[in-house]
Amino acid sequence: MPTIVNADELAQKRIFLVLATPGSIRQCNIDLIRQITESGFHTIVITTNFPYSILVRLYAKQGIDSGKVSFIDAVTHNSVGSAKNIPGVVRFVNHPSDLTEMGIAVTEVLKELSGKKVCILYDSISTMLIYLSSSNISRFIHFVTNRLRLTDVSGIFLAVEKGLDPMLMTQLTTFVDTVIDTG
Amino acid sequence: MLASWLQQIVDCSPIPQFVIGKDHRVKFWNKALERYSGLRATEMAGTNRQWQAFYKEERPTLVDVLLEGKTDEITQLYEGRYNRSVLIEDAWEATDFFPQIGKNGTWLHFTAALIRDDTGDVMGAVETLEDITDLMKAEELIAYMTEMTMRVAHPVGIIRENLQDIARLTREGKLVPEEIGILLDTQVRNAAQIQKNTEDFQKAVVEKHQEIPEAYRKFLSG
Repeated sequence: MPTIVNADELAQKRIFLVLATPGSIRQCNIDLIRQITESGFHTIVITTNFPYSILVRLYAKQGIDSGKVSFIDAVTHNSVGSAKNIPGVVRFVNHPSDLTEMGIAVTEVLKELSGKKVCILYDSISTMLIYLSSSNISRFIHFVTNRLRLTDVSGIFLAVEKGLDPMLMTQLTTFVDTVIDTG
Repeated sequence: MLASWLQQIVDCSPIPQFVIGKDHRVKFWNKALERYSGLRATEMAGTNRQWQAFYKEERPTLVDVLLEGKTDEITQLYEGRYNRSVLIEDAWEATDFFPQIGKNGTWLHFTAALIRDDTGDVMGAVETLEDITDLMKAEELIAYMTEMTMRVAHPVGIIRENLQDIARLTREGKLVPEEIGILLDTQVRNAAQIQKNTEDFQKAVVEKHQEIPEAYRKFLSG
């Protein structure tokens, strides 16, 4: 498994845009979480595709300590109607397009984990494009990256390579410190 | 004789253009510009009212600014939409939108160049203009289509990958029936959203681009 991000870069509180092929993005997510965890960081996964209950089991099967991963889940509420937040473990938002709620969730989870070495993994920008325009996504990512810099937290935005509007891609590259193409 | 030749050369050009002297007064106002602006050469010759072809209120045209040598003003008047000519010295080009021209406004591309005599002294300047509204609309349509591709074609690929994952995890016995249901519901919602996005894009394209032929309009309108 090649190293995508290393402990030094995470310690520098850097913000990354990681590009993966459609067929490898799920494995890329798992590899990233393993590398973040092994670097001594707690991961906050913002999931817009698979519900937290399934991801936590998939991670466990890959040998990832679920105690070192928290979730902001934008899938479950939309599917099953209701689910209760578990502080430090999972916080649900109603819909992937509800950026206000998503922003609040990011702020709240960061507060819950204050004092810990934390890295946010946003999976994925590509799925968000189903629900939001490129310009709205750009504004939201700008908000999140500002929030991460203010709170001194590292962040990774995952996207499918060649799946982004060229204008959005240009904007995102200005918000992040490093673009990593794993394809 | 030479003046007559010059008049014919300017008049036979299908590109709207005018020429001003050092005093900023109109020397030539060609037929193409007469038709485009509705202002006749006879009423424009000898005046400095060239701005009336483009603006409601008096302001310098590109050629006036160039004649004064105030190239800094070009950057202010046409911020981000001007270039120095790579072919001719003392020539500039700029693009601007004119809301008052035409029914829904017009995009014009201008070129302006100084005219010098044998000794290099400036005698006047010439400005040409081209209506690039259709080109700008085409660019806007390309931007629409790019966004549509990103938000329709690409997400279909995401759904395909998700379904492949769900099938694999199901075959490997890693999912319980309730989880399979949740995952499939999510993909159904994704597909429904893509369908809605497509409809929204079709509507936006039809509303913004009234010149789309009727046959395509009917198709796009569903």
